[in-house]
Amino acid sequence: MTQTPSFKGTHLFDRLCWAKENLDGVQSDYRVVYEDSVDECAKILAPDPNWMACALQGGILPPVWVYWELAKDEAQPDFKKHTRGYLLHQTEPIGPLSEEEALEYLIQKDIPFQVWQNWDEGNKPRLVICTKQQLPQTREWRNAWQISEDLATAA
Amino acid sequence: MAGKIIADTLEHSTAGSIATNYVVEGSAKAWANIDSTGTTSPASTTGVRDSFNVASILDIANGAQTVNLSNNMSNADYAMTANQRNTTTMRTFFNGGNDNHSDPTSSAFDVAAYSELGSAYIDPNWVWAVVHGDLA
Repeated sequence: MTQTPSFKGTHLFDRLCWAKENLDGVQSDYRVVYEDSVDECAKILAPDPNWMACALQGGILPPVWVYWELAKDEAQPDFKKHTRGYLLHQTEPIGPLSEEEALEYLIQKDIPFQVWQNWDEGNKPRLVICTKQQLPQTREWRNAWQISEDLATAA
Repeated sequence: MAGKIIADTLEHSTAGSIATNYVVEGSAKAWANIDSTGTTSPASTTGVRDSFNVASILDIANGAQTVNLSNNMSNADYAMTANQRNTTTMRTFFNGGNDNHSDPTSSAFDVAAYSELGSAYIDPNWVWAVVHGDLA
């Protein structure tokens, strides 16, 4: 297995360049389905294969809280540009993740906080991890897709 | 062997020279090649065929995806270029979304494909998106 260089303090973009040159992409069979509005259809998150390779490899991606901090900065009314981008680059990269842990990371990074924070409260789950094969076989009526109300919430 | 060259200018023997900040500023910071039908379709092996600096894509509706970046841009004032090819539909517009979609942020942007002939959003087999601008 390819060893990840010691990337502490290395710009994240440079770490991603190294990964692109040295790691093969990993296509995940999993998808995350979620609903963030009663007026909209269910959304589906698909992990990027090169990102997944970085997550499984370890030593490349920053901890997910870094993205939360940047999002907080961007939500400020007087935001002009990021002044804490160093958090992406200077924070020590996280170690290797399992595919399950990588999906949890992506959920916390790319899905709205209010969805994953209370995913199992209410009449039905608002967020489900499934395989591609469990999704509808065609995209017919895509804009009407919802998470089934019959779905049990299993911990 | 890994190494580092620090230079402000690159000079060619006959073609002239170029400041290295042209290279840094002008290089694409992210790109993605997406099969928007394959986001969900078991018949396809891929959602993202290949990419750089992309963490995930969201299939948000018929004909629309959100691309999430790994390394944020410095703000939302970057330029995104996108195009598409659909094997069954001609005269398709491709853009950064409509009024139902979100404005770009430093970490994500929307793309959407609309068929003029079918008067409907469609899911192209090939979606290409490239980002230029400043990194965070």
